[in-house]
Amino acid sequence: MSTLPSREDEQALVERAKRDPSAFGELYDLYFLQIYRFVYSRMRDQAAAEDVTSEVFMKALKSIGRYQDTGKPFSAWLYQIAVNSVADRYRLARPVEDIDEQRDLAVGGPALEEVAAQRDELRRIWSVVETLPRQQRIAMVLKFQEDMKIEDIAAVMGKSPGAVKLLIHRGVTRVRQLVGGEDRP
Amino acid sequence: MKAPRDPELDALFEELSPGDRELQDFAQMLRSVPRPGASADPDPAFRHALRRRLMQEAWKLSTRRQPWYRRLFSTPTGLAWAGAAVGALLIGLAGLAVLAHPTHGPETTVSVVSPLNDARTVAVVQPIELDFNQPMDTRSVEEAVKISPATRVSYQWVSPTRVEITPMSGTLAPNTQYRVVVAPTAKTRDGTTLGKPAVVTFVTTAPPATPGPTPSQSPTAGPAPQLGGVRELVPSGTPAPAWSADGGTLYVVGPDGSLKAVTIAGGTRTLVPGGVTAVAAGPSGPAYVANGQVVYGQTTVPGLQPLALGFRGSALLIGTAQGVVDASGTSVAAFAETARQVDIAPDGAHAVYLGASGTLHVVDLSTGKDVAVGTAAGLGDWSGSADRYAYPGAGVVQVTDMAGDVSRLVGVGGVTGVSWSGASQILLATGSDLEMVNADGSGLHRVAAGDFEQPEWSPSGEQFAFKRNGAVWVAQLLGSLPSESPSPTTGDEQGFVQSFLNGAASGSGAPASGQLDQNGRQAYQRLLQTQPNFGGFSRSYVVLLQPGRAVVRLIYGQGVTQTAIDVTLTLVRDAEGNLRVHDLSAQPVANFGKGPQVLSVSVGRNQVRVQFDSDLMASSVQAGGVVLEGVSNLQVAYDASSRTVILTVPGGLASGSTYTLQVTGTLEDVSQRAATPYELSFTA
Repeated sequence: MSTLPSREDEQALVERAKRDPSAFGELYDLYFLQIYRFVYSRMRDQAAAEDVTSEVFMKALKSIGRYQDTGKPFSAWLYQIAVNSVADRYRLARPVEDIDEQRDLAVGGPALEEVAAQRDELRRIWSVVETLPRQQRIAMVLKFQEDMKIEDIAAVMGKSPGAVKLLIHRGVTRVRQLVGGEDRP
Repeated sequence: MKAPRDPELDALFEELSPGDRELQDFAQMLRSVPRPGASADPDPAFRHALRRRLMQEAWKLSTRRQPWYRRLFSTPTGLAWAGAAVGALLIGLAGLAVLAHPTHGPETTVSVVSPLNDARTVAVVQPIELDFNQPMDTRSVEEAVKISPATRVSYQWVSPTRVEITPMSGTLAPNTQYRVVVAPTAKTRDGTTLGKPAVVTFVTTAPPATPGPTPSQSPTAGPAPQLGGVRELVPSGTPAPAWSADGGTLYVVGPDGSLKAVTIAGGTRTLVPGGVTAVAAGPSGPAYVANGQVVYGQTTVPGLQPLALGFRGSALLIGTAQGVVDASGTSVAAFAETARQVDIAPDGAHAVYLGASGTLHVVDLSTGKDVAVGTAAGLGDWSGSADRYAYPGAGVVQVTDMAGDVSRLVGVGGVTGVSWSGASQILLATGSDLEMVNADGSGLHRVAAGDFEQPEWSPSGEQFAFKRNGAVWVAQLLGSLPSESPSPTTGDEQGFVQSFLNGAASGSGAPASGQLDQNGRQAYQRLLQTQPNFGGFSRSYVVLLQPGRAVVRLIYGQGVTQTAIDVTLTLVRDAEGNLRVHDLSAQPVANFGKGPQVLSVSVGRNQVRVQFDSDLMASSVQAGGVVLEGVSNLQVAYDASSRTVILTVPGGLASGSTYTLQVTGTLEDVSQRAATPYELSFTA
């Protein structure tokens, strides 16, 4: 869970964990829920989410000695691992039919009918987001679900802040088009 | 709760779609739309198991990263291979605590590890974890574990190979080296015993600093001697904070709607990132209302507009405008009129509510009987036994029993907050001050001037929380008699002492020369003659801090070899008002770590509180284990939850007089180890 320690506290904790991996438990306690929920929201399956979350933290533990503080929150690094792990998971599971690619192709397809049926349900607005191209969708999730700063999202996605802004702008514009004006508060 | 706008988003859309305010608003609105799965609760067993796996992996990594045989044989190149070979061999046998049975092969070797081993900043609210490599006979392990300092503990086996050891008091002692020994009598389920004792050693952190009240921020500004230990915890939103059942944690809803668990001993965790509008503490953790849903553990109850949360045993109760329902939505009791506010009794047997007409009602949640009590200005609080309810009326505070019979408690008007402690002390917040009255209406007195919103006693009654200036604070109010807060020691003295210690511990061990006046420099040179290794201490903490005087404890070495000295610093201010050490002297602490030790002493107007590192035998406390020399009518109490002996002097300590605190050999810890006599003088 995002325990939101101060930047200095977080740096100190990470440095301690780099020297003494047993201190990694505190980082796990801090960020477990946040990462699990992010992964679950991508996988929508408890068992898969547990597998991927385990993988994220195990990778983080084994790699923390190489972690370099770039001024971004430590969570950005975890998200980066999580995004890649989710992608790997789908690649492994569906080497040909990547679920993300399926969703990309679905824009304007049958999913839109479903979207139309849900247009009055504000809480389902995320189903529209799910129809967006993968990069837009990840940027939207990190911004609107995880409440991350654009610079941190850029670090997670390996893109420039300007590129992330464009992804979010296009994503929001597309979602507004799809849900229609009457849904707006 | 509506989240504040994200300026970054506004800037983004202003940059890329200038003037499209509607798109900006739409983007901001997206932030508040919950995403499916975004609040999914993980299986606690998974969370726990993953942590265990990580810690096991961490231990392996630690072992690989820090091969002690390399340190042992590091410098001489010619010895490196030999050292490595010996180290590798010994690692196979030792590690933290590898306990080889000499007559068995590797598959029967029993080992135990702990993530706490060698840690030096262990939080006081944390179980001691032991991980075995084989399923263990739990009883033999529990009988084999010995903890020093003496600590009463409970054991929770989370798996056949893992046990969590928790202090009965709820916390470990701060600033303390713990040594946990698992004796060789511990055995596996198949009867294999440990060949050698396993030892886990760790050091707990200092408690968070408790700054004295300052005029600019403290509710105790001005002469308010009853209040002590005032400190600000975290920013808070509108909902009232809730104490956990053990009083160790406050659940606070932040200004952004996040739910935080604030550990009183130090540390804050965000449990829910936003959307929370109310919180209550249940037996299994917090229950809260978020985005219109009631959440308690794995239970989620949608579709209600809760006004209050409560519990009957472990069962969740939800107060609404129409009545009280359970977690399945089934009506427990219906209200006779629409409720504006609801308060469910701690035992879940009754509820009170303030109706739309301004009438207070008492409702029996077993029978559904609804009794209109009379007009009330607001809700109040339940007595500790939950059979009475104090609430504000017009110019008075009244108490009703569960039959609706009302009596006048005290004539205080404008009461906006009521909190009734288990010890029958009732706090009344008026918006301009905080008053306290006994439950029988006697002893009304003003605790302090200032704004104290939503005061809430902790379950133990040792302290209370309140809100002020958008933040949650805690404060202490010691005993039923108005007691003095600790002597006002300014924050810069605390900082100065810490700076002095940092200077002493760094480099050559010499404190910065500017920290000593001329006399202090001479005293320091004299000290070095008797303590040439003065700056070589491994850790330190402040035992006593009074205006102009501090006693700090310096600990040298670790494990069973640790020793300690108490250094008394006399502090003065120079012409510019800067603090200087005018004198310092050292006194060895005899038998340090071999029986109950004093951790800290705080001095008030009529009380001296002495915190120990060990759980004490209460009878030995009462039998003269801790006394003030020359004070005959001393009242002695022992608070086991904080391992603190409370010495109360009726009539108060004589201001300016010097007293000597004595810990005698009569004092025993729960392992029946006697204290080594110890003395500490202080000025009242």
